[in-house]
Amino acid sequence: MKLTVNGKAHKHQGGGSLAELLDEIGLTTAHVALIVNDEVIPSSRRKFVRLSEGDNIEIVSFAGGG
Amino acid sequence: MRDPLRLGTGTFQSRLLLGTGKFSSPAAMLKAVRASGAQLVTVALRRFNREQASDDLFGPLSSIAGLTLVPNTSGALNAREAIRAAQLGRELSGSPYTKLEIHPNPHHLMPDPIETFEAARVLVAEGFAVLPYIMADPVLAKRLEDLGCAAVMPLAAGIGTGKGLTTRDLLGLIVRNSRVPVIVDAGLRSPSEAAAAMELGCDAVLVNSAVAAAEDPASMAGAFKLAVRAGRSARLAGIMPVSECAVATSPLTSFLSACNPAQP
Repeated sequence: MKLTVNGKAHKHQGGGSLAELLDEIGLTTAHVALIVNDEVIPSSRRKFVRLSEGDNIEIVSFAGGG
Repeated sequence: MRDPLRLGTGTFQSRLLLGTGKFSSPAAMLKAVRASGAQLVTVALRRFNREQASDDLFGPLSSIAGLTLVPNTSGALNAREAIRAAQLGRELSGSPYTKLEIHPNPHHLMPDPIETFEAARVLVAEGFAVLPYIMADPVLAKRLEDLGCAAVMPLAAGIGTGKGLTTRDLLGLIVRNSRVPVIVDAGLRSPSEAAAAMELGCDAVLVNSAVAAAEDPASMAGAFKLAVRAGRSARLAGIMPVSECAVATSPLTSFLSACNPAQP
């Protein structure tokens, strides 16, 4: 399945849930927040969100800021 | 807890908030956070970088006990983007606090009052403790308070300028009318300015560049900690009024001239 992850093309080989995408790219335990197509996904819902061809996923974390 | 800062549903002993941007390294930032005694620190959001996962500040900051993370909405150009940033920040921080900042012009970084008001309305309804970064505008501050914001964060000067308390008179007006905490944010350069803001009646001070850009950030963080405490103590002690003419502190009785031998 072709996805866009943080602005870059990504080919997903797994089962197609958001949690499986995170497994695939090694972020299972990372402290990140997620947007799928403009919608903020609470971490409790990651297992249940099904991805579709062409979905746009943004993964963000904390950085220094004032 | 004596004289706590009440912010939303939380109470804090420290009245110094520290930003985490612009430090030379995460280690320097953590050292400054510890030295500042801050219990509220702001953080920004950015795209997760797989190549530099060590940039993520959540782990290191979580190692400091008693710290509440306040994600900001920096980078948002309008209310819609700020709301999304706040929602992402809450996912990461697990705290209801959001520092709402919308400054579309990179040249001066002055906050957009209209988009800020709009975003604040939505975020308050979503249960956030909203801390809006604003111009030192007493009317806007009151409107945001009426909306249900947990505090207002008027600027002392432009972000990162170090120009000091340029909005002093307006801050005084905001303090006088505000029923929510007034947190001076942006523009401060030296601890004496932070003390002056507290003496003026502001409830807390947020600094970032003043500490991060100092030669020794941790020592400067410690200096700000003392200054904020001193300013707060002075405010509570009741500062003497100004007088137009001199008022002697020593007795002016004329015993000296009384001892002089009689003049011819």
